[in-house]
Order: sequence, then C-alpha cells, then structure tokens
Amino acid sequence: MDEQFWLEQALKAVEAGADPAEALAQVPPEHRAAVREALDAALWLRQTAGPALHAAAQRWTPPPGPRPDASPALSRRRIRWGHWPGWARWAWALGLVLVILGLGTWGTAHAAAGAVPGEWAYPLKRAAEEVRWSFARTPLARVRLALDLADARLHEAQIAWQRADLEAVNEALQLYAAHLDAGRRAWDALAPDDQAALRDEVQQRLDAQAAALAELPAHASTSAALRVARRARYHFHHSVIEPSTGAQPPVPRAVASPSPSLAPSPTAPSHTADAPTPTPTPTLARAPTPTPTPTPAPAANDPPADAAPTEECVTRGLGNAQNQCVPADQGQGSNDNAADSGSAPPGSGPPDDTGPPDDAGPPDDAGPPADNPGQGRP
Amino acid sequence: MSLESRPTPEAPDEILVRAARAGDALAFQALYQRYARRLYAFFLGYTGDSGRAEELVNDTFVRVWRALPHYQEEGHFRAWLFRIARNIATDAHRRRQRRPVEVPLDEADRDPALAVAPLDADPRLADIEAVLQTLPPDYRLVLLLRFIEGLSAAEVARIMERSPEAVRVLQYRALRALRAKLQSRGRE
Repeated sequence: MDEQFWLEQALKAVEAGADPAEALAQVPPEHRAAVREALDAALWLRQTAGPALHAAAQRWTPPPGPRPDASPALSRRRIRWGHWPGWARWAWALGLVLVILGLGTWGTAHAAAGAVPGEWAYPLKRAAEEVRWSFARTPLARVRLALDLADARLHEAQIAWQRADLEAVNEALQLYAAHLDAGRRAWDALAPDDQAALRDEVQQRLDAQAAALAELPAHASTSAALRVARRARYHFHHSVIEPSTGAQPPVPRAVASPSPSLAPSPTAPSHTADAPTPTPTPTLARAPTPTPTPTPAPAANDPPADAAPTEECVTRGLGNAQNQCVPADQGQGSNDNAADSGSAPPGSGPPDDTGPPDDAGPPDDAGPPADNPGQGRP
Repeated sequence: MSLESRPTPEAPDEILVRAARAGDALAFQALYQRYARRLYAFFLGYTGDSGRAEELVNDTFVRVWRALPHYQEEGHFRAWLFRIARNIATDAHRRRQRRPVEVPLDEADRDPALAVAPLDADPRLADIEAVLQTLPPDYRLVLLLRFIEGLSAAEVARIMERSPEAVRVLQYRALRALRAKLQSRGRE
C-alpha cells in the first residue's frame, strides 16, 4: 500500500463526511505525513478554490448559447477528423501537400515557360530543362531534346531582340550553341541505322534554325554570340550530312578554279535545301586545318572554323534565298565588323581563299548574297 | 419532433441528448444551460481568464453539437462533455504556447491598462489563479476535474483517457505540487 492508495482512502472518508483528522488516523504512520500534505491541498481545492470558482461561474451570465444553424445530421457531410483513423488523416494531409506542391510547381513552370534570360523565372526554366536532359538517357532522345532546347533558345533570342535586350540575346545564343554541341555529341554516339532514320528530321530542323538565325539582325554586341551559334549549327549540320568524317568539319583549301556551277551566286535562287548526302566536288581538297593561302589573312578574332561554311556551301551547292552562300567578308557581318569586310580586297584571291567567314557566320546562315570579291567571281 | 415527445429542460442528460441528436435545438439549449456554468468554472480555473473561459465554453458546445451524431457513450454524457472540454482546453493551451503574448514587464508595470487583469474582483480568485496557473496543465486538469467539478476518479480516467491507477498517481503528484505552491505562497 502506497501513498496514493491511502490518499484515496482518506479522500473517500472525507467525502463520506468524516473529519480530516479522523481520515488521517486510518493512514499508517509512515505514510501519514505525505498523505496529510496531499489531503491539505485537496481540502484547499474543495473548500476554497471550488466555491470561489463556482461563485464566479454563478455570477457569470451565459450568453444565449451556440445557435446551431443545421441539425447534427447535416454536419455528417463535413470532414470529421476525430473519426478518421490516423493513417487516413496522414494520407489526406499528404495528398493535400502533394496537390499544393503540384499546383505550385505547375504554376511556376507555367510562369517560367515564357521566360527569357535575365528574368527571375529563367533559372527555373533552365533547371527544368536540366532535369529533362538528365532523363534523356539514349543518344536518340538527347539529339531530339537538344534540338528542342536549341529551338527554345532561338525563340528566346528573338524575343529578347524584340525587347532590345542584347545581353539576353547573347546568353540565349550561347546556350543555343551549347545545346547544339551537346546534340552533336549525341548524334556521333548514335548507331548508323539510327542516324539514317533521323537524318532527314535533323536536317530539316537545323535548316529551320538556320533560317531563324538569319532573321536575327547582327549587332556589334551580339555578333560574337551569333557567330558562335552559327558555327555550332554548322558543325552539327556537317556531322549529320557527313557521318563518316567525324566531329570537325573540313576546311576548304585553296583551289585554283572553283567550279562555277557550285559557286554561290546571288542569282541562283533555285538552290534548295541541303542535300542529304553531299557529293564531294573534285575541286575541293579537304584538310583538317586551314592551309595558308595567298589571300589576306582573316581578321584575328575570326576562328578558322568559320571558314568551313564556305566549303559546305560549295560542296552542297547552297544558294537559295535563305541559305545563301556568302563569303566571309560579306553579308550581315559587314554591319558589325567593317574591318572584316575590308580585309579582302576585291579579286584578291580564289573563292575559297576568303578565310573564315565574318560575323555573318556560315554562308548558309548568312543574309542575302552579295558580290563576293573574295570568291573571285566576275 | 412533436410537442408531446419533446423532453422538458429538466429531463435527464441522455433524453436531452437523444432529442438534440434528432435536431431538437431546445433540448440542446437545455443541456447548454445545465452545463455552461460548470464548464465556465472549469475553464476559468484552467485558463485564469474569464473572457477566454467564456470563449472556450462556447467552443465546447459548438463541438458537442457537431459531434452529437457520433455520441455513443450512453450514460456518460458528462464525462463525454468534459472530455471535449479537456481537448479544447489542451488545444487552447498549445495555441497560447505557440503564440505567447509578450508584454514588457516594465511597460506593464507603468501602464495600468496593460496590466494583466485578475480572474475576478474576488481576491480569493486572484490567489487561486496565481497558484493554479503555475501547475503543469495535466496537474491542473486532474485537480479541476476531481476536486472542483467533483467527478469520480473513474470519470476523470475516462475523460483523460488514462487508467484509474494512472489518474490516482497523477492526482497525488498534483496535490503534492499544489501543496508545495501553497506553502511557498504562505511563506511569502
């Protein structure tokens, strides 16, 4: 028997009307002191606190009371948490959280979908794209995704250009080039059969991108990015049409007399899209690196790879309205880099001795054809 | 419900509860009138704030009304009512702990309008508030139910959802703690 038991006995005795001293007398001496303390407190509650609290309650005038606006039966329609098992409450809460997160994510993604570089939502858009890229495991999926992302970057560059946000244009174009580089690597990893199946589609999309790039006006502060973008597009395109030659597109060597029929001509609008399997022309000798030519040196800031489009143009016989073969020193680049335009004096060399193209980029991306003194045409 | 079958306000709890479950608002009002003051005393002892006690009484009856369709404790309406009251008191205590009202002591001392009002004009209540509010919530609950409301240990066990033995232990400890508080106040 412990103090709790003896306290209970003493309380019962007091409730039955016994005197507290009598009630304590029944408690064994070893527990009496402890029980007395507890009993004193209980009596204080009964005799002091209780009456005071009840007196206060009697002085209190209850308000009319809650007026239920519906019968209790109607309240069954409501969610009654108290009657839900624990797992159901958690499931409900989890579902609610998922719905909220889903709505938040969807809303943010929706807001980010139209973002251009420099906007607050753009990093979210890019992060979502990174996730998409990480989920694209096969080279086939990566090629398609890279083209999708490149399309998106071009669209952003166009929007940014309309807003006169040149910084955003630059960023979009650099990202465009990065996407195409990644797409090109994925293309190289494709099996030959897959490449053959995908070749037409990729070419069409790259052609469309070339047209979009050509629509972007050159500007002094965007010319470098535009050149990088055009070069990346060209490299990818070359990988597609020349699957056997590897990563780097060939650079034309100097030839004495280019075939007039393949030379770009401003009056040759009948040339159409890229040929799927270009036939090398006998007039071209391919080399991995540019061969020094007697023509004036290209501008220092023009990478040698820029020369490649000239060769592509020649080999593929491009020259239609959109994919004009423009020599290095002509085209849109003349707007932003006058020095390049003047670097090749008229008639100073053979057509493929023009060196790297200027900011106009690869010829098939460039603007309208112009008289090309570097090409040596009449 | 026809007039003949409508219970009188003096009817036993269970009859009033049955009528209230059937949608009889008057039966529910009778239950309210019967228990509102008892609940008020309970909440007043628990919170030490008359305004808060009134709010909690109202909250309790709103919850009782909503829970009436699920009432399954025939013969134990009072225990059921106080269990709801205990849950509401505990919730209110938690909310109050999460959002404590911070009043700088020196400012409260200077401005009588900011001073915490006593329970009531009754000076005994101020003493009771001072003692009870220093006890842990569980101790307060068991003491109020057992010695202020006069419920049996079995009823308190039902309300607190504990075994009668656990309630006895809790009650003993609460009384010892209360005794210590009373003694320390007596020495002051």
